[in-house]
Amino acid sequence: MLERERVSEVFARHLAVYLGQRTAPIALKTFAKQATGLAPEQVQLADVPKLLEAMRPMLNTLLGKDHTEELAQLIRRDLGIQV
Amino acid sequence: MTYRTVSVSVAVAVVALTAIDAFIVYKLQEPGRFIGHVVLRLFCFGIASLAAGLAAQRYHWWDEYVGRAWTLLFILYALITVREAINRLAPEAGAAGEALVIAGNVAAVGAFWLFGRVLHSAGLEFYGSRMLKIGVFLVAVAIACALVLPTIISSLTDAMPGIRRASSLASAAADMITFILVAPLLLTVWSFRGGQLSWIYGFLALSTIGWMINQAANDLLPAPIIRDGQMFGFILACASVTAAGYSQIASSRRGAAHA
Repeated sequence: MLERERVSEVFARHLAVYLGQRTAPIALKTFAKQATGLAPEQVQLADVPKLLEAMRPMLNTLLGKDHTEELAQLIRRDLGIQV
Repeated sequence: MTYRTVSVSVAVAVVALTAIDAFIVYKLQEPGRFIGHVVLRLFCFGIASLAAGLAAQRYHWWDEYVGRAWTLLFILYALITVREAINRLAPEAGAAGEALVIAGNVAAVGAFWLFGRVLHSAGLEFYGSRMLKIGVFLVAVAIACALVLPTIISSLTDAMPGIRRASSLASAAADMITFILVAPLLLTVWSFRGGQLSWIYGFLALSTIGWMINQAANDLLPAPIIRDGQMFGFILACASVTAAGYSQIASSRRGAAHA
């Protein structure tokens, strides 16, 4: 349970820096559903690559490709995922 | 520099440059007044062009969505900088200046169309109730019509050379469209509030509001302060584009999350 909460919280925290506190959870919910069919709280570490890929077009549009890659690395690092 | 510092810098720059124009440049004897005015306007256009160009370059020009929007904004400000120089320094080359105006206005519509649709293109929606969204659009349409329709009518009815009429109509049509497109910009700011991206779109919306003030000054202000109102709107527009470009670049820097 702790791990599941941590995954969604890490995503929400990083997205909120750019999208704000209102739109970040909506974006997370939209792309978690699209990528995994799950609610954000149910996303597990194994789902992270799929979720990041699903979010990539949105992040590319809003942040640019270079910064999207940096953000994806930061999220993976905070979740303890080896790149 | 934090985004709040950028906002304060914009406010200080707008007040300072408007005051310099009103209390120093305008009180000079000719040709000092003319030179001062040209230098001030070219400085404002030039710095906005530079900021837009640097933001476009940071986002790989035409290769990325935001890069395309900034490229078009750069083209707009670069062209009107050149047009300003032609108009002031070589007015006999008027037709070339008018052609630049038409091209610049096409770029303006493209840029603000892309900025206004960024949320949709990212697969997201505006935050807020349907009433809020409709209300913001209706207010923007009403303001755009009130400010620009008289110009469109006079462009159609007044006697003027063909290229001048085309340029005037292109400017008015672009003003109408970009003034309406302030609605999606404001809704984007509202959706991103609290996030870094809200600053970028906030400054872009402010730049459009600056051009609205520039346009409205002629109709709404008493004669003695029309010029000051126009210059205030113009400087606000240029300073806001500069701030938006800076913010766009800053948001892409490593560690920007802590800004």
